[in-house]
Amino acid sequence: MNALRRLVGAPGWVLSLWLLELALVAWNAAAPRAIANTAMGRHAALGTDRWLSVLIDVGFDHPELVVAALGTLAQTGIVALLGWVLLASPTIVRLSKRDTFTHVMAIALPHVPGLVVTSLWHVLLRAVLLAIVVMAALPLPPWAQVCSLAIALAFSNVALDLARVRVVLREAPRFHIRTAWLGFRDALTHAKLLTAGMALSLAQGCFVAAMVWIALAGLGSSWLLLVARGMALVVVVLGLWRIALAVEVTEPPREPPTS
Amino acid sequence: MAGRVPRFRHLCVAAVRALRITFLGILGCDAAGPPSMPLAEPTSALRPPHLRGHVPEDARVTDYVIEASLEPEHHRITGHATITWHNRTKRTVSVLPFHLYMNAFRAEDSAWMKTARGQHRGHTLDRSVGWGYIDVQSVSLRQDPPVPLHFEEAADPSVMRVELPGSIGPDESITLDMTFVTQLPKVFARTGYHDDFHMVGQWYPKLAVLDPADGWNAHVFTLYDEFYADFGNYDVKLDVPDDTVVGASGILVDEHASDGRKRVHYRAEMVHDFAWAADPNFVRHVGEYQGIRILQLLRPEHAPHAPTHLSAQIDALRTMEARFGPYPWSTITIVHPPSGAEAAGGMEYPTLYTTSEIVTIPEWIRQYVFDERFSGQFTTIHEFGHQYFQGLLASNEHAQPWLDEGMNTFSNLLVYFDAYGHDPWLVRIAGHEFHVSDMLRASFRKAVTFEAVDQAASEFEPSTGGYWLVYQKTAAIMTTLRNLVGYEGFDRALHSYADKYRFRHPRGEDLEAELRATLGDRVVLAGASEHTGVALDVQEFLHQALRESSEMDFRIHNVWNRRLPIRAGWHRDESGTLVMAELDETDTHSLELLPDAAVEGTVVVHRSGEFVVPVELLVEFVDGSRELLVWDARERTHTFSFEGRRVRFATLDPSDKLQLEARRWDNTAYARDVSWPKHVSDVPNVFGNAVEAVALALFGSVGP
Repeated sequence: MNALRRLVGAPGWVLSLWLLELALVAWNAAAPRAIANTAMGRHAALGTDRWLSVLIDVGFDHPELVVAALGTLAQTGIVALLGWVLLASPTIVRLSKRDTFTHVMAIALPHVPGLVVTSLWHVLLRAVLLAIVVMAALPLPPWAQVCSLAIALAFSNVALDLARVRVVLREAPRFHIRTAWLGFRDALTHAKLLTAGMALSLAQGCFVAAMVWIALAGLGSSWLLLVARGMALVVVVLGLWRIALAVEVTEPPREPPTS
Repeated sequence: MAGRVPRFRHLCVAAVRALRITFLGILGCDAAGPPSMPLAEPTSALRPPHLRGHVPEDARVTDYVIEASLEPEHHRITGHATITWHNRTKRTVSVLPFHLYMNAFRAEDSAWMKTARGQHRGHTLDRSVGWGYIDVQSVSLRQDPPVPLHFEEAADPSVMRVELPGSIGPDESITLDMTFVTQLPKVFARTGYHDDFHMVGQWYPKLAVLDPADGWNAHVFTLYDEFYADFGNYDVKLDVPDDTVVGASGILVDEHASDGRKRVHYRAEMVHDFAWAADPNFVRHVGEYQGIRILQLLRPEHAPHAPTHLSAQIDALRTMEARFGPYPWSTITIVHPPSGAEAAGGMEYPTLYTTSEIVTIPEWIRQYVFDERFSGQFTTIHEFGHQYFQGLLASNEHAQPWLDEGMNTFSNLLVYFDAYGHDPWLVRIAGHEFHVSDMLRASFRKAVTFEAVDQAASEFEPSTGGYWLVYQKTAAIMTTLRNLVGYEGFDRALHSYADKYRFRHPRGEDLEAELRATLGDRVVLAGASEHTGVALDVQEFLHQALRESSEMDFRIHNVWNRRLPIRAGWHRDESGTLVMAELDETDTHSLELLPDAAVEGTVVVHRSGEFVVPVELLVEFVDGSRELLVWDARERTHTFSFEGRRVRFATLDPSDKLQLEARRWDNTAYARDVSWPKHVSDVPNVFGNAVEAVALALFGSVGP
């Protein structure tokens, strides 16, 4: 079974993750909306196309809006971090085999603590890798520095997927740094996976950057949120596809059917 | 045949070159980079009489002949100055005060340093090597034989007094000889050195200005102070290492090199200061506008931006000449401080100024992400603007800094308006434009209530940021007044002021008087109908704007529709008897069901700030009709009622005339009982959607 087929075979899982993301983010963004509502009352920005200046104008008098926006982003970052770590195990199980939700969770939940620890070890190794890349790239021109960093991040993402999949599917030691380290080694030994995984990761990064740009470019447009939500689905699909690639190369070969 | 092809090719090449030269000539374009043939240096420091405008001979008060030698390794200048002063007043004087501005950087007990503490606009004095000073070593009266004169620094070393043996009466002249040594500071506040680069400003003893009414103006130099001097001619010979590229005020008269040194001779006429820059690494970029030689001195790495600076300079010249009269001098020299010497950037001297560099942004980023028309260009426009506001209209920068910095900033906006259209964008982020007016409002908003604009530079409290109001609030004041009284009258008034006070020392009251004389004391607002009787009192406006720290702010307090009083109830009839009127059928209807005739629309407007100025009010009714009213804003709050009409929304200052009003988000409000088009004007939605979209991006960037 190839990776894409695994992904296409789990439409409910993909859509559920996406809808969960939308719900969490919408819930987080409710506070700045409410605060802005209270601040403005019946006042309005009449027929303007100068949204930057309007928002700066309001923000000057209502700094709580800025605090609320930053709070929402910080909260979203934390929720996303925790959410994706907790959901990694069931996602890997679901991409590994088709099963009922109850069975998937029954298999996945015991691995959650292991994945948390493996992820923490991975953060440490990733930090070391990024520091080395940043230092090595210092003499390069800015665009090359950005590219180096993006490639290092994409590589780390593939390594993290492989380490997590090892824990869930191969029963690798759950709390040892070696498991996280092996993720990096495995990434380097699977050239095809590495290339595809990094391409997907970079594509994710591009979509994320595009979403930020759209958030600015679409200020005041009715389509802004619809497009951002649509792109969030694409980002989820790309991420799950990348994980499916790791599952594909890590999953133990199935026993041939005995007759 | 063999010889024909190359000849044909030569012809083609020649034809293409000729076409290119003609085409570029018609467009007035500079091909790419510096012209290969530098323009000849003008022979006169002033433009020809038919181009330079009126230059009054009696404005020439102080002439300087200076010989100076630069020791680049010590960053020191040794000089001799011959100063001739003509007493154009009716006063008699026996003391001559001089400014020794460079002594501001001599130690931390100077008035300037006491406030600045070694900091200036984000740059810091290098206390180990960076001090600067000017040491006057001798002063003598020029006669045969010379008479040594007593001189001494005042309590603050930025001022020196020279005692004369006798007195100088009206229309008499005196000539002094001085020797001095100037140690340049390591540049952190406009003047000084950085490696091989030397920006030499305020470097010689400069005679103060004798005011016919008030006597000598010899201000102590403090942090926000700038300069004040009389017009005169400067003849300056500089001795520098022969590999040095020099730029200076005025024209280059001649240049000789020998024994590893070179002597450059400059002459500037009818200016009130002389500055120069020297750097062996400078390259020259030469441009021209109607016979004015525009020389840029810059390091090779900055050369790609020279055409943009030239273009900004020409835009500025075009606007300033059209609005404020002819530029009288034949040269402009633009110095680009090298990297590390940015503290020298953004300073003006007569016919010479320092600029700052343009931020390099890749084209695709400019197109889609971030673009700006500010960095470098604005500095060039602003510093050139000073050639008028204070180079030509030589106000006292110490006593009334708003008259040069503020009026200049206002004129800079006009340059942008003329070049790019009314209120153009300065910054564009992902397609969203931040306009000149937006930038101006954001810049003065925070400090507007701290300080009044019209006060001496030394009066501003550094921690309030109030000094910057001199620039931004003044520009907003003038823009607001121009919007209120109409462009034509206002522009005519300013042109008249500029024409009248060329080569003079105008005061704030001169400008205010000129505005009143041209506009009238009371101006019916542009766009307002005469019968409203609401007019702007020009002097009251200027007084509040310049001499008070009041804020201009209005707010729609409330908009709603309510039932008109009904007829039901007890009333007396003609005979005085109480008679009961019964309820009509519609009297019990809810507001939505009432006919318009039974409804009264109400708009309550509020003047939140202390500043009193008439303001327009636009009211839109539910039936789509609109009414434009003018409120004189004398009361704090006023209620407008509209019998038989339902109001949809009301907005104050709908044409955005009040540039001085920074807080505008509460200028429009919809009626409480009317649904309104949220998708176009709902700030909470716009803000919430943007936050939510960024949060989605963040969520995606973290996982899966």
